[in-house]
This record gives sequence, structure tokens and C-alpha cells, in this order.
Amino acid sequence: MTDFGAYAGKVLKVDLTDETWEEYPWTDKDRERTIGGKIMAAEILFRHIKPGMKAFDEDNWLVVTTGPLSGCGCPSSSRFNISTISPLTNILTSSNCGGDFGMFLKRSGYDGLIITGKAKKPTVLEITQETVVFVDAADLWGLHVTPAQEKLPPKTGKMVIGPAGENKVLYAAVFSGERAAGRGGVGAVFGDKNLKAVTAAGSFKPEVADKEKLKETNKKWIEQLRKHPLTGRQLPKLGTAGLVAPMQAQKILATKNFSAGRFDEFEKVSGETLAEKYLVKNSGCTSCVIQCTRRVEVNGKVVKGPELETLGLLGPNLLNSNLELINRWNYELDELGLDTMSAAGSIAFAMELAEKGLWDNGLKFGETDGISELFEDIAARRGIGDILAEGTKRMSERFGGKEFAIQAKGMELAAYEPRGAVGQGLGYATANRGGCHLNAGYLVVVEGLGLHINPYTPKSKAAINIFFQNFMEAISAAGSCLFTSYVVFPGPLIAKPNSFITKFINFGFIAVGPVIALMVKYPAIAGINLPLIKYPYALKYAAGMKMNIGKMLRIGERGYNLERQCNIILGQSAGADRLPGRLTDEEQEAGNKKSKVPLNKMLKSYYRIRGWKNGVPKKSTLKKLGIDA
Amino acid sequence: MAKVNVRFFGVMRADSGMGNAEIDAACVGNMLDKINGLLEGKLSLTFADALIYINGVRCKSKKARLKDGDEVLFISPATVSAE
Repeated sequence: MTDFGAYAGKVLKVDLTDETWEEYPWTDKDRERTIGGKIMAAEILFRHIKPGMKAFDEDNWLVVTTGPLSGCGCPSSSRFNISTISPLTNILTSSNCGGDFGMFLKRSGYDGLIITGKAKKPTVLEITQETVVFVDAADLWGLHVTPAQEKLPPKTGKMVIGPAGENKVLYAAVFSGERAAGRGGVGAVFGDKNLKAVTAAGSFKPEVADKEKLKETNKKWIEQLRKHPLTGRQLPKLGTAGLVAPMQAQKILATKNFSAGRFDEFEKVSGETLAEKYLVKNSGCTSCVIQCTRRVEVNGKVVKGPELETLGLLGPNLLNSNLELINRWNYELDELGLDTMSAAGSIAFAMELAEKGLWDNGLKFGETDGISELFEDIAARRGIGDILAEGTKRMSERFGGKEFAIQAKGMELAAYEPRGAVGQGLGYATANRGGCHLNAGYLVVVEGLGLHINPYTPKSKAAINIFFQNFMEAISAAGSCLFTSYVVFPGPLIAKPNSFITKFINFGFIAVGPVIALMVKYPAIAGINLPLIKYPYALKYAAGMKMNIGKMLRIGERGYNLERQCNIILGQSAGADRLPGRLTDEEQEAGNKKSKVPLNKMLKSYYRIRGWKNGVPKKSTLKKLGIDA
Repeated sequence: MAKVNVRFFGVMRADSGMGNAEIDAACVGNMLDKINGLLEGKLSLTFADALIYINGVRCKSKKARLKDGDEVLFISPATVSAE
């Protein structure tokens, strides 16, 4: 139980081996220290994991968590998180999803769900307020993502895996509706546990601390999101795919397995072309006012269209400019239950291996015939698909080519080529779950896709990166979509990129790096609230939690260190924050020495500010954050 | 006067429906005036509203001269419609 509002107050722990369940102890002190979401999951796993534990051990836990803002009328805040030991990276992964399972889990009376053990046969877990039922899933096993969900009870929140998860493809995803918890192979852990699906239902509605003030805050927040140039105009009209053209301009559009940052035929795969030729309508996740999802037609059905990452990695990164095909591939990968990003990254690497004569696999950049069949082979672990199912890092260990194996800590990178945005490169290298753009801190948003600070200088990038990583960690823990954070950049700075004031801010951002570093080290100096940043207000009125920007930064910092410490326990060694040689040693533009990621230089500042030694949190840092090492 | 090919991106393209245009202009400021003419009052763009790249290089002044055959990328990320 809890004295806070907005929370359901209970965490459910289910054992698939014995088909038993119990309440997991979770206190208000835990809630205050973690908020919820991915930090809550990291805390639970930190208490559980032991050295040597692996993703497919029976004792590996799947931890599904919600945030307190979910189900409280807060805009774009219904996301849920799945954390576990990743089979792809062998460290912690946290995978976030916009599907409706989190909302339903809360309605069933739980803020979180811990799944332990291993079912003896394919199973569906049905959770309600009253009970937990373990249902035989023999008739669902083998089904694709949509048909499987259609067979589950109506009016429930759902999580399912497709064939890829059943066959333990290392980057298999979990789906809730059409939305994916895509990264890190959480679907493979479901598959290993013989868990085909989970449903949740109920009528529980948490009380909030101050209903009237929360309603007022939400109204202002919705208005703010609707008026902002990015969340109110660019994302609804063009989706995340609207970033293709700015990425092309900035030389950060990953092309031909990250060998270049520009693609001659970029316009054919741009958000503008998607909107003009294929968009049926836009839509969004539960409670979302941004509505960035594209809906397109594939095989006569209206389905979710590709996000920027998928589009970039299945398009320019494979030298493919056929957008209709990308729409179809995106749908096929989703239905098979694969992470589109890791699948596309692995294929790009396999194409380059073939081009360099390191693996005769029949794949070629720009050739699209047979790729749909290859997806099926990956999901079924058939032929070369079985090798591709292991991901880029393992392929590089088998065939060579480590310098162009585009992964960090075993996870394939997102579609941003970091030699044109070096701070994003630092983020990829340091991200706790591996080559993820969001866990990285998403510095591209100030290095050319929103603001335009100097993308090539290493100066101040460490401080800005840590600030973003910590703040986004806390936003995610609250249950909010990270896109809501765009509104912290005043609209005119985005809408008028060439104005004097925008140019001044772009310059100033780098100059105030030391101040940002101070704020990161001593977040108490940011112990204020600003009308522009709604999260602390929403947490105060929803949960009754005393919150301000500084506290959010501290909670985010603790979460980031907690995840890092989990990784250390799981065997991540010092010096793991690396990028492939292509990105750090090869110039993107011949003769331009700045066009490569000066990683070592930035890492030095990064570790100093974080209080880490070569990627490992110092004892004094852990003590300061209240993490028992 | 130089004849340049301009390709439009961003919300401005979604609002105006204009994907590209061949424009005769001596400099970037002059090109902007011509673009506003083509938009027939639907939008009124200033140099501050857009990121302009000429042959792949970011243009920093509206006085920048144009040459025949220049490829211009005109990205207006989130221009507010005049409607």
C-alpha cells in the first residue's frame, strides 16, 4: 500500500515454474527514490541479480513497470517499461513501449509486474484484480503478433511475442497492440520462459493527490504540447520521419552501414514523401496528444508506418530508396516480433561482410529481392537467418569486421551517424543498454535536429549529455513519452532556426557547459520549478510527491548509476564504453579531421563529471547516491 | 540572375504543398522573395524561418550569391501558417 496518490500501491510477482504469485515488497521510500518505470525496474533487478547470471537463466526476472503519471490524464504519459538481462548484450536492458498494457496493469491494481521462473509449456498469463491465471497457449504458439492478440480476451491490455521471440532471436521484441518494446531482446526472454502473452484487466482507478490542480496542470500541459512547433506541428504532420531531411543536411543520415552521412535519394524516403504518398492518417499511443504515428496501407490493410529509426536503417543504411517496400518491411518485421532496428543493422553489417568478401551470404547493398524472406528466416532461425538472429556483434566475432560492426555493448546503433554529431556518439558509447539513441541522451536534438550547437566540437558535450541522460531517465520513470521533453526548448528557437536569438543560444549552449556540469554534479542548485517544465508539477499534484527539477535530475542520476552498477555486476568490464573504429578512427569526409567521434577526449570529461573511473562508478559516487555496492 | 533548383522540406512543405521550384535569383534574399511570391500569401517566410543549404553547405547570410545550377535545400522545420 502507499500514502502517495497516482500509484496502485502494489507490485505483483509471478513464478511461472510453480504457477504461484505473491506481492513484492515495495515501499513509499522506494517510490520516492525511483518514481517508477525504468528506475523502479533497475532497483528491483539490482536487488536480485548476481554475478554470472544470464538472460536465459530460469532465475532471470522480467520486470514490467509503469509510471505514476500513467492513467492520471497527463498527456502522452501512458508508457510502460520492460527490464531484464538482455540476451543480445548480456547486460541490463530497459525497453519502453507506448502500448496500452501499462494502463491496464494499473487498472488491475498493480504498478509493476515481476515475472520469474520458466513455464513448462507455452503459457498466457492473465492478470485481474482478483487473481492470476496460467492459461495453456498451445493454440497461440507460432502465431504472428496481430493474430495472437486477436485470440486473447477482449478489453484487456496485452503484451505478446511473435515467432521471433519463441525462437529466441536475440533481438526479438514484445508488442502491445502495434507498439513495441523493441530493444534488447526482451521478446527472446519471454520466449525462453515459454511465455507467449500477458493480459491485464480491472477497474482499479488510483486516487490523485490534488485532482483540481492536476486537471489545471494537464490542461496547460496539453496546450503547451499542441502549440509547440515540434510536438504540435512537425511530429503530427510529418512524424519522426520528418527528421530525414535535416539529418541529410547535417550529414547524420546513416547510409550504407554508417559509411556515410548522406544519401543521394533521401527525398524518396523522407517524412514529406511518406506524408504525401502513403499516409492514411496519423495516430498515437494511449493518452497521447502529439499523434506522431503514421498509418499507412500495406496489402490492403491500414497499419502502423515506419518510425524514423526503422526508415533510416531499412532505407539509406541498406542503400534502399523504395519507401513502399520499407512500409511493408516494417509491418512484416513487427508481425514476426522482431526489433526493426537491430534486424536492419544486422542485415547492413551482413551486406558489408559480403561486399568485403568476409562472408558469402548472397546479400548486397541496394538489392531488395529476398529481404522479406530473410526476415522470416531470421524469425525462424533458418539458414543464414540463424546467424543474423545473433546480431551484429556475434557476427563480427565469427566473420571479422569489428571496425565496421555498428554496435555498442552489443546493441545495434540507431539511424543517426554520429560523426556528424559527436555528442550523440558519446551518448551511444555510454548508454547503459548499448547503442540506443534515447538512453544515449539524444544529443542530436541540440546538434542539428532542433537547436544547432556545433556538432563537431567535443567541448561541453559530456556535461550536456549527462544532463540529458539524467533528466530523460526521470521523465521516462514518470511514465511520460520522451517527446514531451521537446517543449523545454522555447518554440521560437525551433521555428526560427536562423534568427539572431537562436544563433546566440546555439553558441551560448556550448559556452555554459561548465555551468551545466555544476548543475549535474550538484542538482540541488536546480531545486526550482519552471512553468515551462510540467513534470514536477504533475508529480506533485498526481502523487503528492515533493518534486522540482533538481530532484528529478538527482533521481535520474541515481537511476543511471543503478543501471550501470547492474551492468558491472553482470560482468561489464571497465572500458566498455566504446564505438566501432569506423566512427572513431575514420573520417566521414576525407581530409576533415573533425568528422570523426573524438570519443576518448569526451569520455575523460564524462567520467570526471559522473564520478566514474573508466566507466565504473566510484564507491564515493555510489555512496552519495545511496546505492549499496 | 542565376537559375537554381530549390527543394522544400519541413512543415512549410506540408502546409503549402510545394515540393520544389526552379527559381531565378541573384542572392538568397532575392530567392526568398521569389518563394514568397510563389506561395501567394499562404505563408510569409523570412531568412530566420528556414535552414538553407546550398550544394550541401549551410548558408549563413541572405546576401549569399547564387550561381546557375545551385541545388538548394530549404528546410523550414515548423513554420507557423499564415492562415
